[in-house]
Amino acid sequence: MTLRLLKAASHKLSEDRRRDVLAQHDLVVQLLRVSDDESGMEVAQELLRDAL
Amino acid sequence: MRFRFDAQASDGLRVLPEIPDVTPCLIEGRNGIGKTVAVRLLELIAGNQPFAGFDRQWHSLRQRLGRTVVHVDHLRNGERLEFTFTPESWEVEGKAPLELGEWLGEVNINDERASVAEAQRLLWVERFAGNEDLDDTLRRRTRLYADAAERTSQAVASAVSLVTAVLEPVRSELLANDPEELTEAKQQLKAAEDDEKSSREKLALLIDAHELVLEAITARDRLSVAEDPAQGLGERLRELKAQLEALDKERTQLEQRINKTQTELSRQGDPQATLGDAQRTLRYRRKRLRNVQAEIERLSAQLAVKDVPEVVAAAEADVRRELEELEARRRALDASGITARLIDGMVPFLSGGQAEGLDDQVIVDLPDHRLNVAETRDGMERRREHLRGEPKPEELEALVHQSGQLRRRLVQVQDLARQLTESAKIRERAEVAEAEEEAAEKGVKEAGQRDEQYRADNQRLGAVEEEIDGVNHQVTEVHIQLGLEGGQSPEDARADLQRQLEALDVEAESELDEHERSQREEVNQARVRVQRASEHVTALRRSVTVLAASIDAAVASLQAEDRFAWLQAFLPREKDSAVESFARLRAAVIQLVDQLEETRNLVQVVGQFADAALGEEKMIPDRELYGAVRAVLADELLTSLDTEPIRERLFGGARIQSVDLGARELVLARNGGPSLPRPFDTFSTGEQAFAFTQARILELEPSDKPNRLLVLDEFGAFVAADRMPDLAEFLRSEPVAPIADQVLVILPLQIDYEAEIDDTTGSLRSRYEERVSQLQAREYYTQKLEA
Repeated sequence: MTLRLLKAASHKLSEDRRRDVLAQHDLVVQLLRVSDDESGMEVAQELLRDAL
Repeated sequence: MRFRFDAQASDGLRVLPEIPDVTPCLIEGRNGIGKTVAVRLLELIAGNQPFAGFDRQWHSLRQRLGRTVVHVDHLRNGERLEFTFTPESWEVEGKAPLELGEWLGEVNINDERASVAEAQRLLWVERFAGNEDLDDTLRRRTRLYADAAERTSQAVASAVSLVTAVLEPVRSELLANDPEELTEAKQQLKAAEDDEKSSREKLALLIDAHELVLEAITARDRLSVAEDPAQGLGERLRELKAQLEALDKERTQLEQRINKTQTELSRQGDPQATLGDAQRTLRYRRKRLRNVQAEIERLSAQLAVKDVPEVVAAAEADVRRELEELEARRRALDASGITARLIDGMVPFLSGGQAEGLDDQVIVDLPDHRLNVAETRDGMERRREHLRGEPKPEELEALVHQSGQLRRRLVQVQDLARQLTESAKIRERAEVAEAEEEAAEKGVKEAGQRDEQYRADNQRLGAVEEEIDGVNHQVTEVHIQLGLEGGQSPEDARADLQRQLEALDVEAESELDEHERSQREEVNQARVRVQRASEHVTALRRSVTVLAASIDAAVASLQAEDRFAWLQAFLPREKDSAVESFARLRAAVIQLVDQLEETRNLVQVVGQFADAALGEEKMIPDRELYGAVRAVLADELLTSLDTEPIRERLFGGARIQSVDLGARELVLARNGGPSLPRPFDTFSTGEQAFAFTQARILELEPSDKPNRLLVLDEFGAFVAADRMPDLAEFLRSEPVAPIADQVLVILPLQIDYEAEIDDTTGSLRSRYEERVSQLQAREYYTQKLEA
């Protein structure tokens, strides 16, 4: 529900801001996996790989 | 369906004991006897979470419910369900969970153990609150968004904490070392080195220019002395010049007479002609020999080198050796900066993590001795300190000066050597000419053609030319005594000085001193600039060394420590690109940690915005995002309200054009009609609330579950407004039948039936007596809802 709200809200923002909020939306999706089946270290590795 | 509740509740929590298998069933009872609690428990069994967003109530229920058992029978196909709540297994903290799992309770279906999920598949329960109007509904919906965002925020915050706990030690390690600083320092060092080089070149040019001025001043001063009548040398020069003029005149006359006689002798015969040619050749060669010897004497005196070929060759070898030494020194000075940088790059290897514990290990094996790691490192550092600040401006300046002098001396020594060689050759030729002259003389005698006058003229011409050479030699000696460069004449020296003044762009000799002062000042300023540039370069080299070593140490630490093992794939592997890789990793980690924090805040703030969406705007930190969240919620609410049943029952068939959460109003529009704003609170009358409830019920999608219970709670207002017949008729209507198998209408106790009973008669009295009887037994009564 929150992810849907975040994504829908991003489409009502200015171009730069939309890009930021969508990036944060994707980050939330990755972070929510920590509690599911990945450890903080695995997610940190994944995020760092994406960032590099 | 029949529901029986075996309550084990405490602390004042009560649960209705039974709901009969009657539909539509009216339940009326006193407040606080557990009517709504019973419905909430049924919602939980069906898999709904009625406490979403009401965490305090949820935990209150958990603490007081006990192992309450709900028995449900008369289910479809004669099935029976027994659900025992197990609040002792529920989470004691946190938000009311949205997912209701096996922890909720123990289940038996048809006396056999079953799962909570199976119970959820068996039963469908939907509760409507009759006191909930449009405004309440919208508020409840926005609250659900806020609650969901809060849950997500908690999950994200927890995840961010876990990921940050992994990243933060890396960030701390990386933060202290900024490769940007190193890159910047290297760029500054390169610029400073270029500046230093340029300053040195300018200084060299200025020194050369200053030397030219000094030379001009020296020439001027010598000339001034040479022209000083007090010396008497001027008078001597004039006498010698007078002698030269007289001798030159005589020579011209003799040459004319000899030429004339030679022409006549040539007509008389060969011996005379031969003698004339031999004598002319002899004169010419003797003159050349004298000139060369004069030049040899001059150079020999100027260079203070004896005019002997072996001595001159030795002098040339000496000059060349000195020049090579100076060149080697200059190369060493130029290389000092490069060597210092090389050491800068090597020392960190000998002091970093890779060299840890190796100080006493031999690293350099020389023929006569060995050096261990510590000695090599210390030696390199000492050498680097020594090299810092080199080359010194005055040292370089002296070098340039000495080199110039030696190169000039080399040219002169080489010239002296050439003149000596030339002199030997000319001497040989002169001797040959003498022999030829004697032979020709003999020939003339034998031929009897001797012309005494001609012979005397020739002898005299030879004597005159020797005298001229002798006087010239004396003139040169006087010039040398005058101190003029190269034994120049004052006239030549003055002409040279004039050319020097033009080259220096100086109009008069008198301006030379001022010009020299100005040039000297410029040289001094240039020296200061070189000194400063040199100090700047030294300081920057130190910075680059420290920063590079610091980054190497950080990388070594990240490579060595177990807690950073997970990071190995991202660490620099190639030495050449280590700083660039380190910079990328550092930027990525720092940015990631910042992004995690921003994302945590974003989710939190979105929840706050959803909660604050309805009503007037407050102090909002991020108005753009707030506006976007509000607009999305308004769109969603519009979609949920703009349905056929709600349009018909609540808005008289008008469409919802827009929802304005800030102004708390809807804008309605009929086909072709004008837009009409309607505040939410205009839909709060009992009639409007009833219509809204009916519409919401009709919106329900019929469930696939086999047993469906619809509960209308808090419906006292309808009874008070005497709308019960309308409600009963609606609940029995055709559209409602597919939605629910059983309907409950729950009311608070409307009147004191016992007090009223004496005022009633007939069937009403009977109904009242039945109700009083049930109320006395269990504080509520149930009956079929009649139209």
